[in-house]
Amino acid sequence: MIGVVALFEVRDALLDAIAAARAQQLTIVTAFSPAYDPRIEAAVGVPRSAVSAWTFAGGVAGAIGGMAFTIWTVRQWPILILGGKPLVALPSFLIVAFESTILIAVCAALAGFFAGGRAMRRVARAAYEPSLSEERFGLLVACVSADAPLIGELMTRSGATAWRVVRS
Amino acid sequence: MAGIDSIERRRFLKVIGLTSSAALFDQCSPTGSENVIPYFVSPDDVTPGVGAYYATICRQCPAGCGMVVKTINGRITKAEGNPKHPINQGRLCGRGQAAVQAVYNPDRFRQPLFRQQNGTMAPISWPDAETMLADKLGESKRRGPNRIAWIGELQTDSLDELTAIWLHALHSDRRLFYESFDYEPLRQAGAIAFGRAEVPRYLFDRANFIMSFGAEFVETWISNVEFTAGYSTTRQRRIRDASGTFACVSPRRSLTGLNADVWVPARPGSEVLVALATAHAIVDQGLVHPSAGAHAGWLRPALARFAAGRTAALTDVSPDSIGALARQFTAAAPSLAIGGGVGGTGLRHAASLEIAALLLNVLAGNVGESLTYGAGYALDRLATRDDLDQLIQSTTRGDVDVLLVHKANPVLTLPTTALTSALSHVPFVVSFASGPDETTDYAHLILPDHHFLEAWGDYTPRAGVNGVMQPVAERLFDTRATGDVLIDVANQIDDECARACGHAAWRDYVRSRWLGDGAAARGGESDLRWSETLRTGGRFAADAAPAPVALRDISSTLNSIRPDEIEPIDGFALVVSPSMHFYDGRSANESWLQEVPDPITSTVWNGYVALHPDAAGRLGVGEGDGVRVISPYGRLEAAAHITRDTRADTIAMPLGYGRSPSLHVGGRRGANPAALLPPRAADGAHACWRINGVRLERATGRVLLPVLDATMTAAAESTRQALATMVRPDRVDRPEAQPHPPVDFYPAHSHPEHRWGMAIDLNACTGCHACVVACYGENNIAVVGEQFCAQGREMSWIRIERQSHAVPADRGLQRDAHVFMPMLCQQCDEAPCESVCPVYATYHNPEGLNAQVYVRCIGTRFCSNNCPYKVRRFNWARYGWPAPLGEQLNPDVTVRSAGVMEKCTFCVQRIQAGKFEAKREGRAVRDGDITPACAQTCPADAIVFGDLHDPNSRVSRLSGAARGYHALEELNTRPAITYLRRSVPGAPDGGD
Amino acid sequence: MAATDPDVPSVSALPLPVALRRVTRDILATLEWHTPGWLAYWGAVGLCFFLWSLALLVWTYQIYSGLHITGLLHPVMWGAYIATFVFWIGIAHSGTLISAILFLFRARWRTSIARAAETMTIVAIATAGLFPILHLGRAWRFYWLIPYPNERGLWVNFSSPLIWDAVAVGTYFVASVLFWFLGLIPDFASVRDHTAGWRGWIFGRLAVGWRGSAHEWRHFRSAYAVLAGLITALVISVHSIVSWDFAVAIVPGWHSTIFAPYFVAGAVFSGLAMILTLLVPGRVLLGIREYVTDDHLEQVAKLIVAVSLIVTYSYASELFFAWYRGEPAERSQFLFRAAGAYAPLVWLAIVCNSIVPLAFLRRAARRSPAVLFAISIAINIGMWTERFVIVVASLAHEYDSYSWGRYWPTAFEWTVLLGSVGWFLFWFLLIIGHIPSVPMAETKEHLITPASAEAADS
Repeated sequence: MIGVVALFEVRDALLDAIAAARAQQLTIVTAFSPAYDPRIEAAVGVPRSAVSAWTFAGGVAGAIGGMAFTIWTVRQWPILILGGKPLVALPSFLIVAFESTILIAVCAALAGFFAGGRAMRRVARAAYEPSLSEERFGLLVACVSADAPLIGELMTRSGATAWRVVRS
Repeated sequence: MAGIDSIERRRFLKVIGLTSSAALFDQCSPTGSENVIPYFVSPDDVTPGVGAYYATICRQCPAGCGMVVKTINGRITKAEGNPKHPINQGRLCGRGQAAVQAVYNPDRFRQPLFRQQNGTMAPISWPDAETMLADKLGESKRRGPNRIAWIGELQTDSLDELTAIWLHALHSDRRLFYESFDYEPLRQAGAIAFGRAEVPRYLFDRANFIMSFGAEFVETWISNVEFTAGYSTTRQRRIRDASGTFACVSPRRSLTGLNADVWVPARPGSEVLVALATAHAIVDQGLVHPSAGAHAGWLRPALARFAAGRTAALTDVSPDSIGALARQFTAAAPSLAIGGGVGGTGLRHAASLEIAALLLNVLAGNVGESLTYGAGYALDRLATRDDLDQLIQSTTRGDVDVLLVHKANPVLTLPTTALTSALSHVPFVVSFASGPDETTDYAHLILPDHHFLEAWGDYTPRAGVNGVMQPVAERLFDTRATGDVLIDVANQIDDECARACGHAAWRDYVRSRWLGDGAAARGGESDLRWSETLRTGGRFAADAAPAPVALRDISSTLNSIRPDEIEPIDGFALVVSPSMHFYDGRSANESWLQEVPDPITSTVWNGYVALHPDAAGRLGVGEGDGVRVISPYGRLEAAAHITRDTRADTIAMPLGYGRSPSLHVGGRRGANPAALLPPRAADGAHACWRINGVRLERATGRVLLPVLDATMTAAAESTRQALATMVRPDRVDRPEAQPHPPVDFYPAHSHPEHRWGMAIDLNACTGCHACVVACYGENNIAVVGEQFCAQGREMSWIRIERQSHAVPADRGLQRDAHVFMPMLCQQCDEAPCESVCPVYATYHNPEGLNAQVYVRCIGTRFCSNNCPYKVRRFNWARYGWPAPLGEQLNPDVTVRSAGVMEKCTFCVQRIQAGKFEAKREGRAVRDGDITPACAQTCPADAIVFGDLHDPNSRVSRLSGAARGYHALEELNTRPAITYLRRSVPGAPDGGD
Repeated sequence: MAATDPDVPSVSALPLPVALRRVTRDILATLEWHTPGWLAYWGAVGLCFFLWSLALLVWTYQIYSGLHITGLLHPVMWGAYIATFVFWIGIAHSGTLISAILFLFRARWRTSIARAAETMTIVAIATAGLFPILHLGRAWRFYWLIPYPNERGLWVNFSSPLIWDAVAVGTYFVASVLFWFLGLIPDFASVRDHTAGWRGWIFGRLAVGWRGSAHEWRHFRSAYAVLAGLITALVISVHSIVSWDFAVAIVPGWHSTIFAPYFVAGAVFSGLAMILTLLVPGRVLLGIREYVTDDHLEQVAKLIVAVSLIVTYSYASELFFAWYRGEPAERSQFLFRAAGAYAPLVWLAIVCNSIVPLAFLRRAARRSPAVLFAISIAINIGMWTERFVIVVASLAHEYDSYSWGRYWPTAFEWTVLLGSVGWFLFWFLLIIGHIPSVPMAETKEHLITPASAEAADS
């Protein structure tokens, strides 16, 4: 794939460029910013993250797993009666299950984060440069090689301080 | 229960064939510290890992209880009472329990010793030692008669006979049996009142009301185990009686006094007046028993001077109280009046007090009923202080060349420099003591005798109770029976001695004397008889008929008692009391007895001066402060213990402290109150244990006096929970209404086979602590020492909590009730300790036990925090048993390591053994098969153990009693222990 | 970019690109060893190392000789160790409060102190987690508290509050570390991009390929919000569970349903105080005064005074319940606390926790670093004392007065306690000195979208 990456000093210039690129019906791959910005996110049109789904699945697994595990362990030694309670003393197990729900959900959320960002990280790598984590904003637009100068010019018009062609 | 020589090799092989496979399961010793037993050829009577039981006699005090001693692998592990023995009927007191520890006491002499020129002791071989003794004896025999003297422990039968013969052959009749508590006032009183100078027999179980003037019959007095059982029987029988069972007249409450339903805190020294005033009231009110009607004629004038109204100012006892006592005493006939004991033995009037008590018994018609003469007590043979004085005088004159001291320790309790200087005058003092004591410091030659558990012998505490003693284990050190020494030495001196004493070994001497045949007779019928005797523990005849006695006219004696002669208090009266644990101090070197708290004060490891809060306030003395006690005879310093158990003008000190520094456990602790006492009473040939005119001063510094019961020192903030409860006598059979039925969140769980339980009768428990000592012995409980005790780290699995309840006084009689509550693991059905353990180290086993698995414990200690009864103990350190004390450890019980929790198991090892025994015999476990150590030894039979599933078991029946309750019932822990309320006259309605 | 916004640092007055660059440069500069306070920094680290080494020595001796070197005794089986455990767990809580709960509440002022607070959380849990092990009778068997398959086939007792503890604290630690790490990823990338040498390399690995694309930010934001939510639930559960160690026991003084909220409030309270204790000198030491301003500290002080009132309410409710329950043991326990051997400590705790923080009602007190520091220390002492009293006084005075006892920590225990402070500061300093101590990405986020703009958006 060939793309053009443009760098901007200010966020509003980036937003302008995105709007311009949209107007030209260009394929916006992604934008770069040193910090989270909901406006950029909206302008680029990033799809919904699957992290919540991962978390939910992790939580359900943790809840069921925690409860099942505790019940299974006490049934290994059915004579271990404690304090007059039955073997399966659900109120105490609920506490353990709650904690395991949280634990597995947290791990799943993080796994979801890594899994979700993975594809884009590979694409972004070629377009990346260190100033993007300091103060600059970037925009990566997909193109065919012939269009690159035109797009570069479009970006410059929108306020880009520099642009270049990337291949990945 | 076979004796050493009753099993021959052939029989042993048969037995081991039958039992060894069983032994594998029965006695799997869990302890890791046991060594492999290196026998190539096993001794005939030792089956590795299987307990063997031997009957013998306890010689910790002169009471002469029968003992059954358990040995495993040839080591003595546990002492129990001999059920066949008439004195104690299977029970023992704490001192008896501790006898097994005395065997393994590290301080014991390991071989004969003689004093060198430079004054130090050096080892000597037995032949040399005996030759040395024979030379000295032969020499003094040649110098003339009576130049050899013997002071010994009280002996009867074989050793009595042998020493008499032996001394006779040495031309001496100077033989004294010395005991600190000589009961001489009682013997004198008997002589005056009935013409019988002897200790009468007290039948507590026949008496309906007991009036005591200070006798410590639960603790040490005459025969404490027997008397405790008798008292407990009476208490139980009279449980519904509103007047109670026991009134105690004494300036200070001993443990016995704390058990009384009524305390009459008479002025010290005036007890005799209280007794006579009561007698006067009985005569005056016409309450005299018909059997004593004949005496009324001379009694009325003789007693007139003692009318309660006239003596009240001297006794501090109101005429009202005296009248009430007189009525109770006579209404409940046969009752029983008991004289002074040790605490009542003052400088004057000790014998008069005994006479007055006997008079009360006559007036109530008790003589021949609850008190009989003609019992033939061995105590009647004890030396009086006159006898001792004579010996001391002749010694000081230089009339004695050789003094033989046999297991007596007069220096400890005889408060006189006359004795010690006399001892220094004797050219040659021989001691047969098995360990160091105050008297062996004066010995030139020490010929250590066996401990009594290693020795042959016999003892007859009273006529018809002939106990035999056999060695229950191999001797531990190079010791020798005194009998053997005497016979050997006799053969070395001259023909006369040799002929008199014979050539038999001591063991054969005892045997032939018992069997009444020649020492040489062996085998066949004679062997069978002997082994039968050993198995029984002696020959026990039925009680002989009491001797008929009649009261003499004692008006002249009564006339000689002048009320104005009652000693003035002049400062404080000091009561020196025998110790439940140490007797006169002799058992102070047993670490169990030091660690088990004093039953009255819950102090450990140190002596104290008990004084009233008012007195303490006046002196500015706080708990544990050092005080100086100054009497006309001596002075000492000790720790103050503040208590309401004494009058404000009376202080009390227990015996057993201030012992010789050569004792590693009991030495260097506190002070010996004997140093404050006169050598003898002013008006009799007996010791004096209470004096007036004692001054008290605040000494600098504090003394480490650990008090285990926090309530004792924190009285001000005490908001005591009613753990121990009481019931009014008329409510005994009425069950207490439940405030609300128990509710459970979870369904109940079942115990398929057994549910072990216990019933503890607070009405019977006297607080003697025998169960606590037994528990130490059975369960390898570590002794942690004074520092740890002071820090609250004692390891005891069972403790006796003294709970005091204020009960309104009645006609001037103090009725404060003291309930002794044995507190041990309650084995709760819904135990709070179990569910908090993260690693299942404690759980509820299918038989209802709250099991503690030591190896699984990691020491979070949450279980202890969550135990409302606070009966779990934590191993704060690695505890050791100084060699050879470790030999006593019970191999059936794990020795716990540092960092783990431990607690009462209901003696699970005994439960397992009992179940296995039943299984082996193909039957169900019967009630009574299994008895934990505490229940086994309880002299009052207050603890009953059994299966709660069996509706007919004793424990089931007792648990269902109306008096039953659970400790801290409101916590819904469902304990397996049911306490039975103590019946307390005057208790508020509805228990507490 | 109004300079009047108190929630963002003073760099917000600069033009945005310059401000963004300044943030990166300023924070990265704190990672260099030639920062002005480096000698003080390493000196402090060394002192802390010494302190915990000493504690380690004491503990080794305790393992060797048994727990008798502590002042623990028969009724009081838990003492300073457990009180300190609760104390550190409490400290951990406000880190979570600041980073997760305030994040969910969109309190922007949290940003500057969030990193320090989160680091404090992690280190405090790691410190707290030592104590249950330290206090074990057989500490070398501590792993028996962990449910792992073993040849005995015996698992742990999930009914035991101590297992709840182990599970909760373990979960809390893992979740907090993950949350902390997630928030650090963009900052790690920043360090990677602007630092040469080994540090850049290491941080490059830690940045796990972060490029700051809009897609990544989307997942990041989603994960961060989800984690913040989960951790908020977790943090309340953890200290509730710690309180249940006591509340489910039948010990008078422990057995109370109010314990969970009471402990959570106390935890937040003590943690906020600890934040002040750390940041007042720490912002100078690390050279981040511009980012952690007096405004930030004042916000913390405001929270403190609010939580202090909740804590005071809890004390009052204890009094009420002691009376209302009508249980003699409970009343006796309450009176014992008020007037018994531990009464001076009880009153000390009340003064430190209920009265002293009221000074923050005055603005001047909230804005004076010296006053903030002094009061934070008072609260730390007060909260430790409160925990000590809860643990010790309750055990010392239970149902059976035969077994009442008095516990005081020994010199060994004080050493371990001091060692735990050393251990905590050691790791805190070491970590905070080597990571971006202020969240750069989030600071930039607020620079790019100031609060006014955000309000306009929504």
